[in-house]
Amino acid sequence: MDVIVCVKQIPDPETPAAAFKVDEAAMQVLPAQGISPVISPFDAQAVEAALRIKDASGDGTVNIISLGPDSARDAIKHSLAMGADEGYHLKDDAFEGGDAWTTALALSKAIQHLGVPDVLIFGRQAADWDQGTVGSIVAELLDLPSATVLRAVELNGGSITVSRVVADGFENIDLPTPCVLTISNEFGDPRYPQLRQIMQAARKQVTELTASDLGLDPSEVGAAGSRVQMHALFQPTSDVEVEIIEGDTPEEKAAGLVNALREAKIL
Amino acid sequence: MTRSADSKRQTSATSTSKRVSALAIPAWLPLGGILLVSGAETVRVTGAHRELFFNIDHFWVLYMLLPFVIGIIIYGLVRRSRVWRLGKPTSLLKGNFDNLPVRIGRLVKGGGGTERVLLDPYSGVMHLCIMTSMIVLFLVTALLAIDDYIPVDILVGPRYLGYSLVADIFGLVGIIGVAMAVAHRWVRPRTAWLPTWEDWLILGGLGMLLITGFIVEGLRIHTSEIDVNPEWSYWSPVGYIVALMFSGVKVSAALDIHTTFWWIHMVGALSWITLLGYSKLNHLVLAPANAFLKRTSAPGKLDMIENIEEQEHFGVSQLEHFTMKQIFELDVCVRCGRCTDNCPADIAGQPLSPMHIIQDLKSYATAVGEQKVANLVQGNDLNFGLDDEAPMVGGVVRDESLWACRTCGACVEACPVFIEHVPTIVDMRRSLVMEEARMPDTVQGTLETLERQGHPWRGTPYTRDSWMEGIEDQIPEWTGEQDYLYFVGCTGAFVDRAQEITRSVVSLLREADVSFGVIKGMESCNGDPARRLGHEYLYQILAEGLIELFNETGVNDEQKTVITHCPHCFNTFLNEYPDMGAKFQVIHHTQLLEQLVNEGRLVPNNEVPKQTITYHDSCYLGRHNDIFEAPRRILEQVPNVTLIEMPRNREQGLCCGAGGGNMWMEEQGKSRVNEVRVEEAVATGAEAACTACPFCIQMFDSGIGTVQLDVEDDDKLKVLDVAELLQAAAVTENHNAV
Ligand code: SF4
Ligand code: SF4
Ligand code: SF4
Repeated sequence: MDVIVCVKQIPDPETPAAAFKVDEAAMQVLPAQGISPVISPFDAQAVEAALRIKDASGDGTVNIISLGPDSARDAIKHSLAMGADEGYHLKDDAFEGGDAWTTALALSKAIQHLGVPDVLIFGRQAADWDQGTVGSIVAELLDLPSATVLRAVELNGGSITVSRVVADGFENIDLPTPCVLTISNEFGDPRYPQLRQIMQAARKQVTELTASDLGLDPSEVGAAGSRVQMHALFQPTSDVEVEIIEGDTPEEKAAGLVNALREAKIL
Repeated sequence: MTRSADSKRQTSATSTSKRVSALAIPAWLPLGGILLVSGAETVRVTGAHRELFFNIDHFWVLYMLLPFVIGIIIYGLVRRSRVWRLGKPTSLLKGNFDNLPVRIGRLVKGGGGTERVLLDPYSGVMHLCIMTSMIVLFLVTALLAIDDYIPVDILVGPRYLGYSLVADIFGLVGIIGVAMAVAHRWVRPRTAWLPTWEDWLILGGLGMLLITGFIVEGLRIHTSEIDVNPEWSYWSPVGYIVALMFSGVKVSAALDIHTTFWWIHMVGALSWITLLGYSKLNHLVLAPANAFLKRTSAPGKLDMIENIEEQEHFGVSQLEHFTMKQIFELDVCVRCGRCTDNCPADIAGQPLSPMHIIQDLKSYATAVGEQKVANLVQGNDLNFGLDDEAPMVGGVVRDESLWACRTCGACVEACPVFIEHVPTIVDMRRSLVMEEARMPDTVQGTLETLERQGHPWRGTPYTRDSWMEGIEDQIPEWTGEQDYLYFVGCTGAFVDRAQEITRSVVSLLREADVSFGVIKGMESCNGDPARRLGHEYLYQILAEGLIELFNETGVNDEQKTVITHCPHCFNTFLNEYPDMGAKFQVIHHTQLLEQLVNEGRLVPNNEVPKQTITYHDSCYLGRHNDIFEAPRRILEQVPNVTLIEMPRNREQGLCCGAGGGNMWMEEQGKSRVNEVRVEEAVATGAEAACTACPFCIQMFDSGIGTVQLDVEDDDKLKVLDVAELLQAAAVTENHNAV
């Protein structure tokens, strides 16, 4: 079974708050010193899901697409080290400053360019902006069925059985192929690449594709094609007030806490 | 501070030489005995002697057997050596003996002198009895034969009587030794003890030889001496008693019994000695050889994988990935259990016993190794017919055992036959991490954080510079002009408790007006956690990065010294960075602080509360780098402080549990190592525990949380870095970096 996974390189979500800075004027996140960007964790899980599908089906390929600046190569390399077959990097100045829509548009063109596979997998959202829409937009653009926020994926003959995480439990559904899936963190940890694979991945060529390779006009993508306009980017500050509830016995303290919570209209 | 730890190790070896000189006594005893008796007995016994093959025909059969016996022994050893040779040659086995004097010293003291066996009094004495008895009896027998074949008679008259006495005494000493060994196995079984048929064969055989020896002697005395020259017989006291026991037996019958026992004794002796090639009796030869072959580098050093990108495999997952020395070592182990008895993981009831690792690998080397040798001989694929064997890593040695190791070196320190468990364990970890990417989640998280953020503290809310917030102006930036670079390290920067230590060190350096600087914001991990966790590749990347930074900033210079307050950083810089091109000097903060106190640049005369303190040795400072006294001498100079020791201290100190990357792992097993150690510290009655390692501090703090759960906060054991105590005692207000 052939699978394509779309991945994104993001600032490490483990970056300590103290090291996280934004440039409010330029409306950009400043890279933290000494902390390398990483593949979005949900995307690493998406790659894991793809590799398991490939293993379960016994044949096929897992190819990786990433749109982004030079550093996006690392996300592709990481996926290759995990065991993916080929990597494609959508790299063009024209792509810069885009939004979920332009990203989805470029990705869908790239997928058509490579040939629509049996399964298309995304992380449920990129762990930087947390929008979680690219997968669904691509499904619409390619007119494919999709299932989002999955915790399990199983091959079921020609179709695919998935389990969605929903507010009050899980929802199991069958999809035909080709289809689009987005993977949630409940899926489980992605594999840690073996050193040999890391070294092989380092040597592997990643194919670069530009807007014109995909038949896209620069006006359709990047900042020019964006449908979302950013008005401000800032770090919210929150004031924390600490009130210690006094009391001689645990019961008194508990009663005091209940009163305080009622006053604050939390209870 | 010298870069090479060898000179230090030599000094530590001489400190134990007093113990060893005791060994000289048994060696002198035989000679002294002979001289004494020959001096005293000059007149009465001029003709005393004995016949070599008294009452024995066809004794030549014995000489015929001798070459066979030697052949059988050599065959056994050579055959086994083919398994050893499956391993990779080390530079040592190519004949590059570094530090030859150290090696020869170990061979003599540790091999011949059994220095380390003597560290355990009971088994030390037992071993000494058996060993000296065997040596003396061998010499005695050889002397008798020589005497018979040379024209002059040495063993006549008083000299013979002295000789006879010595032989008897050492026969008895041997029997005592064997009895002690049997009792040891029966009455004092240890948790780690593994007696097998081999033990009983060797001991039973030896006991049998000694007893039949006395029977033969007694019968000879009974039939040929006691009636004619009774005064000779007194000089063979044991034989004399045996002779008396046979006194009712007719001489003709006694002569027949004598012949029978003589042959049993002789053939028995020759058969027993063949065990040398086939059982753990081989330690007679292999243990001294291993003492000679042991690495002379600092014990905490791990060896580099050179050209790692071109390797066919990473670490050890197959027998043949070990070095020859590592496979050889498996056969040297005598299953004494001392390594396991001293292993913190085993003490805490966790799934690791270094002895079992060595023994299980040895069984594997026997089963699988011999098959591999046969495959090579027959020109088959090396692994032909071995598909059904359990894998060595993960099967024979379980993953959780490999992860439980603290690389603390207590096992290596305790092993009487100089086995190095730690490199063997880490080599297998290397294959788990790099070859198979199979590791606990916590290890994976730590390695990922090291890769991405350049430090192992996943989830820390701090940055590299958080510890200096508000006091930036008090901390000199490294310019390349100062004498010392203070390397803060990840723990000192990212862990709040350790940040306090960092600030204490800075205060002390300022107080003593030391010319130092800090590389602000740019430090990265030296790679120690990655290396101990088995990720050699990541270690090399991190180390290369840091050395590059040191090159750019002028630190990597023989004239510059790096101060660390983390013993792990210290060990890595001192012992492992030279392999990566480091030239700078390294000093641990306790060494520098001691120096500053001695020079009067730090004067500990502030009022500190009266307290009793116990010092906990960090493995990477103490056992691995021989720094035991500097921190203690600092504590002794702080007024109002009384230093007391835990039973396990210095070379025998117990790890806090954090080493070998266990700082970042979940412990598995009955209890936690840090709790065991905290209990030991609490048991001394001390009010505070001092240490000189940021990991130990954290381990103690968390151990106290559970061990002293019900103790009022004020009465809980306090845990301090040596620098923090000294800061309180010696820093004046205006130099406090707070
Ligand atoms: S190094 Fe320490 S923890 Fe590891 S096996 Fe040896 S004694 Fe046990
Ligand atoms: S490895 Fe050394 S200490 Fe451990 S059982 Fe064997 S001989 Fe004894
Ligand atoms: S080796 Fe030193 S620098 Fe690295 S983690 Fe340990 S404490 Fe930090």
